[in-house]
Amino acid sequence: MMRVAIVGAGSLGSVHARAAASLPGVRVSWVADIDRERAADLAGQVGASASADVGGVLGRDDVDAVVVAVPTDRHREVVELAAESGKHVFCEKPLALTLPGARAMIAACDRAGVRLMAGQVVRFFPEYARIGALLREGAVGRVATVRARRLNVHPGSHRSWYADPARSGGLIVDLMIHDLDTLRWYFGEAERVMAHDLSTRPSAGTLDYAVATIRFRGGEVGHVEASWAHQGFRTSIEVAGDAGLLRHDSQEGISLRTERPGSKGGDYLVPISPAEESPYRAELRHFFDRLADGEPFLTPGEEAAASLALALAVRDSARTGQPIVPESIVLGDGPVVPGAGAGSLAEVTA
Amino acid sequence: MSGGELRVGIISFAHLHAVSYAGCLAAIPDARLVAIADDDPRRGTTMAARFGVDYASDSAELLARPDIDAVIVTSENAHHAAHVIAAAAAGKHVLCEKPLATTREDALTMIAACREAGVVLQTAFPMRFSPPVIALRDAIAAGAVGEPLAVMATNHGRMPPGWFSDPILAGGGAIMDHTVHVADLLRWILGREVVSVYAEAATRMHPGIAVDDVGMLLLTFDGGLFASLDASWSRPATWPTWGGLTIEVVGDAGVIAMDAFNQNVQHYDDRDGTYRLVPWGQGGDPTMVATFVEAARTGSPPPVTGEDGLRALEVVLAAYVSAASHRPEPCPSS
Repeated sequence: MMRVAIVGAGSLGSVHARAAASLPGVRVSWVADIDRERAADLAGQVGASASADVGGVLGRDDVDAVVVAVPTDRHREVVELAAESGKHVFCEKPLALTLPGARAMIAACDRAGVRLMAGQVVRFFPEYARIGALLREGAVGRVATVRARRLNVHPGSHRSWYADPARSGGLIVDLMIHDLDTLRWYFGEAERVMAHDLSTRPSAGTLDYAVATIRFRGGEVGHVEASWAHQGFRTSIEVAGDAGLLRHDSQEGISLRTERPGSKGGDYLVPISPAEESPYRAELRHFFDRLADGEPFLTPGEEAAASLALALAVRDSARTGQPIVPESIVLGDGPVVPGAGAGSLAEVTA
Repeated sequence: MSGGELRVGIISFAHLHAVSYAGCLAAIPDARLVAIADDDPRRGTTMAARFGVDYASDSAELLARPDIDAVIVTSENAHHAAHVIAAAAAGKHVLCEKPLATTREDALTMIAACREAGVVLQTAFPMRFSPPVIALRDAIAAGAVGEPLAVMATNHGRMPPGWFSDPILAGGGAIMDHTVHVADLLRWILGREVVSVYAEAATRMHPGIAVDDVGMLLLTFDGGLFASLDASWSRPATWPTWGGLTIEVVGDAGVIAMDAFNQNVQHYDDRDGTYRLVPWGQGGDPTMVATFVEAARTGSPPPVTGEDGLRALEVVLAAYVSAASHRPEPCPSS
């Protein structure tokens, strides 16, 4: 029996707690949140104990692994503390706000001999995994273009920390990183990025919308959008090649729709796939299965750091108005991970 | 002009839009197609017979006819300049297929020639007359999304056959073919000019062609508004229609999305095992041709000018400079 502590009882912490509690061989032993009431509420739902003392929970003997779902600017301190306490770590995306921060977290886990997986959950969404599998089969021939969109309402209305770039990294690092990570998984590393972001324009107010073109080293040309200016949540992806085209649009692939008088449509942060297993449960199952069998994670800390590097390059391009080239993406003050993405399209282990 | 009726010649059916324009003319009471010139005798005689008009093997022969008031130039892109300049010299009003030209110099010379000759020069941008596009412009003008801040646009299609992938005759590939439509529409809808262009170009859909079939552009307009445009020939053969044109505008008070060709009946056809989209929208061609006829008959300014064609071409040319330099390039590029 793996005993897991959920650190952070917010929206994603709740999702992870319920997912972990539903996994055979896994028990949620503790829920920790600086807001004791919120911790107790969630703990009660999953049969766990609650605490407002994060450090204390991380040091307990009845905790084997930790799910970190605190605001992004707190990831590093919680992950390092968990590592020092000898606990394996599942950390929400984005792994960190900076590359040095990400490297320090990876190093801390390495030093402590614990394993680190990042919650780049889109790789576990069945539609994105299916597209990956089809691409691996050569379903569209040689890929020419890929277009990915991720549109949402402004998060300020739900959790104000998302809207603070100093805490979440902003739209590109917090939201666009989902598709940047997925495209790295599909196509490998980027050669060059160029981007625009409304948050660099004072006239935009609190809205945000960003677009990036990505030239991959294999020659594929990407177009990636993220928005905090739309109403409701929507994602889509299209991959066009010389032998066909794949596309998915969350507004078209709807298998259950409820309409009620006066209800507000689509006003939520965490998408629900009405599938046999939620992607959030699938990624946690992967985490515990790989801890058990010792095989590599699909999204280890190094992969999340490389995706963070790409997101930071996109953000830098938007800020400077100039394209960012690969050396500055991957090298910085040392390779984030040599050969990251080389094993792209690795199997999602079922 | 004879009896108020505009007598029109078409120079070349190299661009198959000519077929649509000829059909549009037939539906306009004040206009009459009288002759077709084409350096391809088979194509020219076939079209002349189809529309019941005279055939000329040489455009000069058509332009020498005193009973022709105006011409539609639908030759290969690189031949627009010679045909338009000759038409102006012959005193004929001109509706010129897009892109107006393949070089800035050609476009400037064409505009000057028509101005000096006192003839109308209209660039054929039919999307300006597309009802969904007009509805988008009206909505934005009415403040439906507040102040526009950012735009996402696509103009996808399949690679057209023949000279469209010839770098000399077409002057480029997908970027040359598709960028001008959206560049013109955004200038018109936003009332702003493009100041810089970044582009990624590639040839990946059709190995072996000498032009780009992938074009991904980022445009910056005066005032800081930015737009992306995917101009790629990226629709597969099994795509249920030829392509499409979409524009989504993020404003400070909302988002508006327009899909100009999403006006179709879905046809699942077991007779030939295909799935097709059958358009019910009429598109912009009839109105566009009617506005040209009106401008040529009355001498009033055309709704779309040669300068509009030049501005859109400048975006294309800056995109090609950027695709080689991997930097944002000023528009017009020097």
